[in-house]
Amino acid sequence: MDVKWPPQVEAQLKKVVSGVSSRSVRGQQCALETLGLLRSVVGTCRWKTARELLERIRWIGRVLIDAQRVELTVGNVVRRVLLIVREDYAQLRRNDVGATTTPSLHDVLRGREDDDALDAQVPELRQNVIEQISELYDEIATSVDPIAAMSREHLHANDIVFTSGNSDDVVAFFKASRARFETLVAETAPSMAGHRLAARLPNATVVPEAAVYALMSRVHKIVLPAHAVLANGALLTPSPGYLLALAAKQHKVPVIGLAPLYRLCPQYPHDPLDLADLHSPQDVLPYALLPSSVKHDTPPPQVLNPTLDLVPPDLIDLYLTNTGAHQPSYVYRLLAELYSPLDHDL
Amino acid sequence: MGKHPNKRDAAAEVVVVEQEACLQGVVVSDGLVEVCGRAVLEYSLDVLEKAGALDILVLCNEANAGAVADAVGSRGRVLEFRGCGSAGDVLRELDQRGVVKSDPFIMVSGSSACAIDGLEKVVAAHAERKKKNPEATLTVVLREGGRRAAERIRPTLKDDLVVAYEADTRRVVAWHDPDSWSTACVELPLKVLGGGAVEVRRDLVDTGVDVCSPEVLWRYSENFDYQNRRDFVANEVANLELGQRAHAYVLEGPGYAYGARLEDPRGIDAVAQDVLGGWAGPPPPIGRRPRNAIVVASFVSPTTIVGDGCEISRSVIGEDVVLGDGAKLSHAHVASGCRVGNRVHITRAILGRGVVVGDDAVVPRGCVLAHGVAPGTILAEYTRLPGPEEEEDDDIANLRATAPGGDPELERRKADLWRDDWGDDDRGEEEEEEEENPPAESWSTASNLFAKTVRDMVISGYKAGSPVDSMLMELNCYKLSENRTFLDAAPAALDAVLAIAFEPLAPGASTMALVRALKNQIDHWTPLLAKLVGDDPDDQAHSLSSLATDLAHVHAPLANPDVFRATLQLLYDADVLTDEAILEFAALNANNPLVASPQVASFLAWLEEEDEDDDEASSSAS
Repeated sequence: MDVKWPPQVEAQLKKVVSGVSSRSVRGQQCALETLGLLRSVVGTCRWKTARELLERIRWIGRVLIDAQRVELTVGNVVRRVLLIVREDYAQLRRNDVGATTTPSLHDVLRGREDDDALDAQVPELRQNVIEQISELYDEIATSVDPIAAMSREHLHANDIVFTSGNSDDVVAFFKASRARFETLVAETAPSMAGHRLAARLPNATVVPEAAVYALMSRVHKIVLPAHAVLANGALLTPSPGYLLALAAKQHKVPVIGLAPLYRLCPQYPHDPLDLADLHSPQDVLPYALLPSSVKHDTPPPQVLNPTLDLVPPDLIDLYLTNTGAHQPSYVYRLLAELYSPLDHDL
Repeated sequence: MGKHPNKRDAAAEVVVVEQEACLQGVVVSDGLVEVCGRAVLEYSLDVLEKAGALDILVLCNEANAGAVADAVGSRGRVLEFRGCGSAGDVLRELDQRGVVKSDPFIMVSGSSACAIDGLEKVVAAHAERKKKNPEATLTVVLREGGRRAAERIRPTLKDDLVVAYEADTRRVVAWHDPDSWSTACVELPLKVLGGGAVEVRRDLVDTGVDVCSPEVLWRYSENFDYQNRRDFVANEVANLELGQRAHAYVLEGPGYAYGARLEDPRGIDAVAQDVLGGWAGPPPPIGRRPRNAIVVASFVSPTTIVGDGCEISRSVIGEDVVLGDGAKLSHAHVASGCRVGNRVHITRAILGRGVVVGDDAVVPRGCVLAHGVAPGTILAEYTRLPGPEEEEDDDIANLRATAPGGDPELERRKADLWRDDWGDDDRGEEEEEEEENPPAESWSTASNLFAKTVRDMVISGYKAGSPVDSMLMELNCYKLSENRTFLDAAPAALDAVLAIAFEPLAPGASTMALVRALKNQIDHWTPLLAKLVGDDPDDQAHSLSSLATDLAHVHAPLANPDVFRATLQLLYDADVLTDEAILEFAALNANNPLVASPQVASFLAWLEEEDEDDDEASSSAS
């Protein structure tokens, strides 16, 4: 699609693309910037029908996803906005026609929609969608608060809690609890994100990955931040989250994932390495130390430096989202509420 | 400073405002080489975007402007330069147009495949340095390459890059990057040792990325000899006195720190392996995973049709390629649109666009094909189709050296030159290495020249009938001028004396005749030989060793134990050699067949007795 964008949208798009592709904006920030961009697309672009608008938003989504495949929140936010447009359109059409029905679960799951009807012109659509986007913006910006509020139910005095990565959600979650508990933080070599997290928490101990299993018998709970929650309920979390979850299973320690709704992604994990966000092997094994290949004519060693782990759903006990606590098996239902099945492929 | 000072001053105020506004990046593109389905240009754009360059200029010539524009898209501006023969011309033209305004800006050469994190730190450091010293106008970005780069990525036919920089300031004081492979030592001018410690490194790889101030472009304009970046950096660094300063930055991570210039098919193969290994950014998404074939560590384009039972390892398969059933590809680079027949074997080879390889053909190591191959053909290694127009030895050497997959022998030689302590090689190879050690080789060549001159001087002096004393003086002058000792000249002089003695005789001359001739000559040359061989028993033993080993090969009569014994006896009688020296020599060379022969053994026994007699005589006397 060859689209002519207003100059300010063009500039904003360029800024978001460069931020996303250079990975200088991530997670929540990334979701908010995408939403800001979509708001100006809806507000300033010329479009007449819902179909045209959906097409434009999809195009933006594809550009952003091509710029950075690892950042799944972008796709999630775009799909949320697409659903907003669809629902508002349907709502306004119903108002016009005069019939009022709420969509049944059956309809939601089948994604049934009167697709042909998207071509009608509804003048109020622009205003309604912008309002809804603003609401979504607020929801995402404050999504950590309801999660942090649940920490009292999950963190108790004298608990020993294990976590990894360096996530704002985890810090907020821990800080909201009044109980005095101990925190263990996996070091997360080679990026050493664990060191930075430990510096932000009171009463934290950094644990090298090799010692995780040895300490697991004393741990009461594991709290893992979500990079994304996938359609089958699996959790993408900073490595060594999988290591923690496996050790936890052996010791029957409950594993809690902190997953604001914008992290829920309708994608299935077909290839774990595609999602692993591989970083430079340089951090693990400097290039200059690669062995000689002439003598034996063997290929150089393959060095993988994944920053994300895929934790299968059966190792996760509970997800805390901003709409409450859910089990991994319930993720499909949340996805059906959040996204239209028509938008799973952008 | 520049060519148009007035114009620059007028523009200066405007520039200041824009400088702060945005960092510019310049890519000098020279075609669209692809690595793993992605143009090298895109890697350059990634690096610039990551470094925060918001205004990216891609320079290209008229021939590939369209393709470059497609590849760049909306990520930068494409500037087309007509009639520019070299990168230097393009940069001069760029200076004329005055579009580069940021100070500093980043310049990436078109052949560079790179992925660099943290380039913004280099840019900041450059700007800081420039503020303190306006002449610090260039920062060259290098990386540590190690053995793999030495063997696989550095061009085999070119000399390795040797950089010397001041350890504390990282100012480059020497840049040795010649176009041809010479094994001679790198000469550093003495003036580089002016300040503190200087690091001299040959393990660095030039990434082709520079952080420059606009003065760099002015200097291209001032000097029309600069044809490319290599000329520029080498020359600017060599002219230390002129004040321009280049600094080196060695990438160290964290994150990506990869860069290599693609200069030949061999480099493309190596860089493709690195890209597949994830060294230059996240590994390319594996487009297609055929269920009917085995694919290992390869890039297969989604539009490729893979036949049943194919085995593809460490290869790059472009778009719209059709692979026949049972084809085996290893380290193969198949460009888009190729057709590969059934049961074809391709190993370490490159196929150009649209090449058709017939059924059952074999394309072995080092082939580069732009033409199709008939079914059943078995090509020779290192074949190029179409071949070079005139096949000369140089061309063939070039072909082998630059072939995809490389020539193991050449690579090993290159690696040996570069070798470091942490190699894991066994003893056997080290012997080989010593033979090829370049400094030793050049030294021995010089020694050979010296020995030959001494030999010629003695022989020609003898033929001209010069007195022995004046010969000695002449030799003395020559060894002084060559900074050698008499000892270096001794074997050559002995050689000459033997030659004078033996050459007039017929090959089958009797031992008596030989010894007689030898005695005449040794008597004649005694003063000279005594002076050259010296008094020290160790030195004499050294001369004797050469007599027993080297000279016995050259002069056949000397290999006769009788003659050898007589030679020893004569030299001993003439007081050229002492008994201590002969005995020491015998002890050191007990395994030499000449020394072990009965004739020489009896002479040695006699010497020992003599020695003991002397000792007794001297002790009884005291």
